Amino acid sequence: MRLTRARLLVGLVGLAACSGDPRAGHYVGDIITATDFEQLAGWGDADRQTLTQQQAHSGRTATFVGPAHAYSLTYHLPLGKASVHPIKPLELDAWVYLPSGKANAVLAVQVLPAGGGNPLHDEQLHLLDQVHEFGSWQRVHHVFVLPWGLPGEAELRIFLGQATSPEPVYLDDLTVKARE
Amino acid sequence: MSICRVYFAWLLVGLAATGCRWSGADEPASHQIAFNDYEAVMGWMGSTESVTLERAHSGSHAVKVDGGMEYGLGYGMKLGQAADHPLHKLHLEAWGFMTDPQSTAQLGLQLYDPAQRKPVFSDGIDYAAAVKTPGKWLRISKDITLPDNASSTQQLRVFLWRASASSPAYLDDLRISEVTQ
Repeated sequence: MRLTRARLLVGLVGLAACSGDPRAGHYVGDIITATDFEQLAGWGDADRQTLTQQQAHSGRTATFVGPAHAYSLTYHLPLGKASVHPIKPLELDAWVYLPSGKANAVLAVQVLPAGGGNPLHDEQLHLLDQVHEFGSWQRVHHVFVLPWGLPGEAELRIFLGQATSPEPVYLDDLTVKARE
Repeated sequence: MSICRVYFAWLLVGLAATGCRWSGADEPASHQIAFNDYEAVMGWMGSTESVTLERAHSGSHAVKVDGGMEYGLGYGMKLGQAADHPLHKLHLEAWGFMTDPQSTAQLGLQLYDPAQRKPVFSDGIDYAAAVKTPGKWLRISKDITLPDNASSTQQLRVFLWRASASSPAYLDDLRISEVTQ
């Protein structure tokens, strides 16, 4: 029993490493966020309208866009708080569910000036560029490149946008790393 | 990534070896309703002022209350959405940390009735009685039986509350589950 518990522990520690535990792995300090959305549904004032249990890649909960929901739950923090180092390339890993080839949603990374105004940076990954199978969860991966010299107070925003998709699109198991 | 695969393989081995049972045979069966280690809440909501990097039981984040912060980031969900069946008995489990004997916070559980605009049921765990020893992380837990007339529209709320604490108190790895036997 002790041995099996130990194995289970090793496995759990490993899983934590895979899901972004800052103590483990070689990405120490470089994880901007890693979430499966389970610890956001019902917690604090996270917008529960953008969380759903209709579909999920892991656990029960995912975020989504669809009619009446142009944007998913959105990550937003000043750049200086999102990472201890100045952020250069942002490596994004996620699982998405598109019902069909019409689901033209985007994963977006924006940087907005602290006082409001036009984005200092606005970059989008069109999911249809990477997803060619529909009605199942598919992995997407993209490196977003922020320009140099963005002020630390500027707000980093990461979200799924509906764009022109007429159908709901789901996002789960999102990891964003700041690459060196 | 290959390291992750190896660890994941070990996890599968571990799960197989334990017959996929997460709780020991001596513990009552329970079904998890919510869990938070506070590692990935920052950035995803408006107010995370109570989330701190000062100390943590797991990872690097925990929730803190003190003289300047009355409530820690908590959980709120209508009973009818927390489970697809009526809930009768809950199990609260977490790790608490008192900095000194004045860290007399509470882990609170309430049923809030939106029609009456007030809590209709309150229970919880007193740090002074459950954590007792300042200066280290200690596990706290309690079974709480909900009132028979609890309705699906009432909101289950679980949160760290300062109560009478004048010194910082911390909470991490909060788990809310249903006791099913």
